[in-house]
Amino acid sequence: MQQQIQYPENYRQFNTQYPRSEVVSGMLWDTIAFTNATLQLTFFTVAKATVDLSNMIIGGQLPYPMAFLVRSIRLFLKQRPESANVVAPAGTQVGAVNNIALLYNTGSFQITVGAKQYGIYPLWILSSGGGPYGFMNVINILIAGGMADYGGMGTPHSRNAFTLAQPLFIEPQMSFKVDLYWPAALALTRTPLPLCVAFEGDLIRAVQ
Amino acid sequence: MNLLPNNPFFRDYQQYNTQYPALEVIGGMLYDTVQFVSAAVNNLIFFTAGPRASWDLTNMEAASVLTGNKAFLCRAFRFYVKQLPQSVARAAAGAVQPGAVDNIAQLINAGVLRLTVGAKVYAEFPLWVIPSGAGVFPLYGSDGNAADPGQVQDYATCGSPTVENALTLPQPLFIAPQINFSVVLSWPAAITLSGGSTFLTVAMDGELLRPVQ
Repeated sequence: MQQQIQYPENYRQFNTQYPRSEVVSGMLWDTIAFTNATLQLTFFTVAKATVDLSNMIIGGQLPYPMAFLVRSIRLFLKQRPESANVVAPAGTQVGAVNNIALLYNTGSFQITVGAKQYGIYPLWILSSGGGPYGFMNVINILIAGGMADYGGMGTPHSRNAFTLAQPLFIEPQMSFKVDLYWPAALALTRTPLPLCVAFEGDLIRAVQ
Repeated sequence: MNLLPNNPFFRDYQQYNTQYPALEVIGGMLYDTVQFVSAAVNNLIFFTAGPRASWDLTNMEAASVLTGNKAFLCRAFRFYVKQLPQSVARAAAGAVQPGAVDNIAQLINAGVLRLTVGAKVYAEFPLWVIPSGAGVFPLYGSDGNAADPGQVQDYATCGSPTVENALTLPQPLFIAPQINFSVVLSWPAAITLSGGSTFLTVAMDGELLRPVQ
């Protein structure tokens, strides 16, 4: 399903690539820091300095002849365990779990390919499908109480990814992006907190 | 499946074969273990050192390649952190809480896995999508008073320790005999782990092809 561009036929003899394409399992991801004033984050439009932040080679598109079939979407908050004092009864318990709840409760997610929207979802439908799985125990003589917590976006299980009912095919050199929206500022315990959006699926590229 | 597709003489050599010509396919795993050095920038290379001192560290028989007519169909990746439960001072309210959970969080927040076969990258994933799919299922009960700020006991694995919880590839990867391959785990900056330097294992889950003998 590659673009049918007609190159001069005699250029084929100088080809630096095999003419065939191959399909491998792949992932496209991008990371942006969330701050409490954030109302919108736009992903995949800028190549990043290190590969832990993003594996986009260029901003906003896949270089020719790379293409990608998006089968599922993941969202991961790169936070660490938090220590906090226990909040008085009837109060909201701040900490790492609350950070996730705040982001989920009012966030929304939108995919755009070209100039067309290809999906709007509430943020809580997206899960990481990965992350720490553990247990924490605190001992403290403080009368007010101390606590430590960690939270992930959904159960950290690789099957726990938001799988699209119909996969999305992103052609080479077609602009695409993901936007996350929040209608009002939030109050996370620690910011900036990096948020990572990942597309999971099949990477189509030239055999070389 | 012809395991030596580039060798035009392979068929002629069959008459001198010291092994049964047939292949068998069994469930298999390739794994290797390298130490993550705490408080240092790590760029760890797996599967290139060949056999190690004991079987718990690796089952590679040679450095970087599968020997003889052995080949491997990689269907899934696993990443296991060989840490122990931690008991640490509770951090001040509002601070990051170090410990075993934080060890996993730090390693997967910034780590990236890259599989190279021959001279070409065939898989690149952030570490947070690669679970161990096994390990300790932790529970704790504690007693007594600890002076303020208190103490924390914790343990964590990468993802829930359920055997089907591996990063399964939509398209499997075939590693032919005697082709170089390696996995590199990299982090852009130094990470300090509770408990100090820790061994990490990368495992590939799939099917091992080998001569019937």
